[in-house]
Amino acid sequence: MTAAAGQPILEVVDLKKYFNVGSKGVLKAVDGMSFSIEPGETLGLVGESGCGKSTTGRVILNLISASGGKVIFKGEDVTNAVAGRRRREMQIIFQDPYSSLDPRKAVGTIIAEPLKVQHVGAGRERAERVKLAMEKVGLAPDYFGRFPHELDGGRRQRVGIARALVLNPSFIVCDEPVSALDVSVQAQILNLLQDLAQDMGLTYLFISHNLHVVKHLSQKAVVMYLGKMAEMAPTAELFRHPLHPYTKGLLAAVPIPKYHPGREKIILHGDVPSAINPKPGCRFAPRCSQATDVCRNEDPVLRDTGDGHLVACHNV
Amino acid sequence: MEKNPAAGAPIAVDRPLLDIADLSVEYRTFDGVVSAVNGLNLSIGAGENLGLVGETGAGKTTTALTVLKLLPPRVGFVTGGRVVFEGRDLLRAPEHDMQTVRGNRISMIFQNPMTSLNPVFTVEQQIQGVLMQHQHLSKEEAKERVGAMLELVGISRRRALEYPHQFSGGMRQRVSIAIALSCNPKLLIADEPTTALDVTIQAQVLKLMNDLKSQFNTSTIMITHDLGIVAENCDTVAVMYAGTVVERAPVKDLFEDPRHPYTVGLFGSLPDPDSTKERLDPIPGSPPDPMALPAGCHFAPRCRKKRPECDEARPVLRQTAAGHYVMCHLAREDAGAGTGTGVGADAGVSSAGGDAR
Repeated sequence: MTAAAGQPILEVVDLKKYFNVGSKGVLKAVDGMSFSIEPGETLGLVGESGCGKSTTGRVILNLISASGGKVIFKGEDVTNAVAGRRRREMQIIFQDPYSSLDPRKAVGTIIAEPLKVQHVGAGRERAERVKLAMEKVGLAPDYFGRFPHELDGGRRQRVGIARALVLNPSFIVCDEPVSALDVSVQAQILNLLQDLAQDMGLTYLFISHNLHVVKHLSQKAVVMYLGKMAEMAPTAELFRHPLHPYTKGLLAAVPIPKYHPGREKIILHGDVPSAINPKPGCRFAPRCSQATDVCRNEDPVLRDTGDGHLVACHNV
Repeated sequence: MEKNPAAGAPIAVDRPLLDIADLSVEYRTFDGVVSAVNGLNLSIGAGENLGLVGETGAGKTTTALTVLKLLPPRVGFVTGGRVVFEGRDLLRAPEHDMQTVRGNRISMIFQNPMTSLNPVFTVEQQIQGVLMQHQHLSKEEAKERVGAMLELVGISRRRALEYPHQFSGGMRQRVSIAIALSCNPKLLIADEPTTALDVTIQAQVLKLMNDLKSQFNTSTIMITHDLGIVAENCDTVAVMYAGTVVERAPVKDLFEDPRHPYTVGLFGSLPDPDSTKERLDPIPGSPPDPMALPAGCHFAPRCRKKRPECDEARPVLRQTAAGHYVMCHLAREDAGAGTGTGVGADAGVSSAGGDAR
């Protein structure tokens, strides 16, 4: 599904986002992310809560500003400058369809809002575009005048997707779009996202903590740990041959919905430490069973082990 | 222990530890009557680890709250059925008897430890309180036990005087587990105990629960929406849909030979980590409105195999293979397994002959 090699649609270079947390110091939420996405490709971004995956998505879209690094979209430097014409091309689908829709607005108004903000069309033309977007996401036209509280979780998320699509973007950040949904509805939305990508040639940055969903949907995946990239590889390769000890632990921790007595479990000990004033060295070292003195003192760099499989670990 | 008749009563060997029969629960709200549980049959034997799975609104938590008689007052009502625990019907037990059951014979772990722990008391005070109330320990004895319980769940004794907000999410859930197990209950109900946790922390907590379950010989009902957790941590499974158990089987049978179209649909909805299936096969539509349930089979409007009779009569839970019960008119039956009307007195679903009193 990957488009012909050429110019990536999105390139992120050494992206950083630091938050000042008062007297406590600096929270390094995103600390040097570098990756690129080819047109039509879906890149999965996985990691546990607090690892900075949502922040990465938001910094790319300039919903919050970057502290450092570059975001290049279709060859243009758009760091901290996604607005107007570029905003039409770069959209987001949020996690929680309950809090991301204005309860006082009707579905049609919610979906039309990006058109209003961008001064695209007017009156009848806008309504037509909204209806077209609703049709694309499988919402019956009679939902046009309904309010979010009248809709179930799956339909609400369809509204969120229609809102992201109404400007005909080419790139969408999907920030945990199915985590709030039950499995049977989740599957409907995943199929919808897949169909839309194919029909409209969309490129996704798919942020999720659910590894099985990322494996299902993305061609390439990045594993994040405490603001840094631990590993990046084509999805199939990453799941078959994880190299980073964190990726291995993460994969082993996910329960598999199959009867398989005696599956071996690697249990990672300890908690994810705070990203405030992180210690030098590998951020995973305190939880890593293979950590050496080098790991505790030197930050590993992300290096290519061949075939686009990148890993940041001293011991690989 | 004189005060606790349940503890003293001899239990017949073949009788399940907990037996829920024909249970119906409704919530009477301003908007109308919500049928949360509709004729649910479920039983659990001593030492059994049962997974109770289902989607949001399927009635999993309502069932658990009914067992402990913790339904919201003036809103939640039991409209029928029995909940027989250790030989007596809890639904008819007076409140002061329930106080000797709750937290003592049956305890519960809730989904969000931040809201189930009391923020203004130290961890020590919270575990101590349970021990003093139920085990009638003195303050000093209880304090000693608190340290032991904390160490059992992997928390240093020195942290006993800290407050819940000083612990991480995984640690807080460990504290909940320590409280739940402190009185050595016969039955532990864990309601989505790891849903609020990250996967690596979830793995730690589940491992801890499994270790302690076997150590304490406690039966458990693990309420979850994650079939993976069931596959790896339970012996038997009950799948709930629209307020009732639609399929119940040993883990192996349910995962390798699901027989209810809803269960089959759930598996179709999950990305398969071992294969590269291009598309998922979801269940069409959404669960029914609990204020207006369909007349026949509750799953019929979403069912691909639906036949005319499905809209007319509600199927009963019947045995289709050894220990494998399905609530579907069309479910395949192994030779000799069926008894026609399913509710049998054995393994999975039972009709236990009323309470002992």
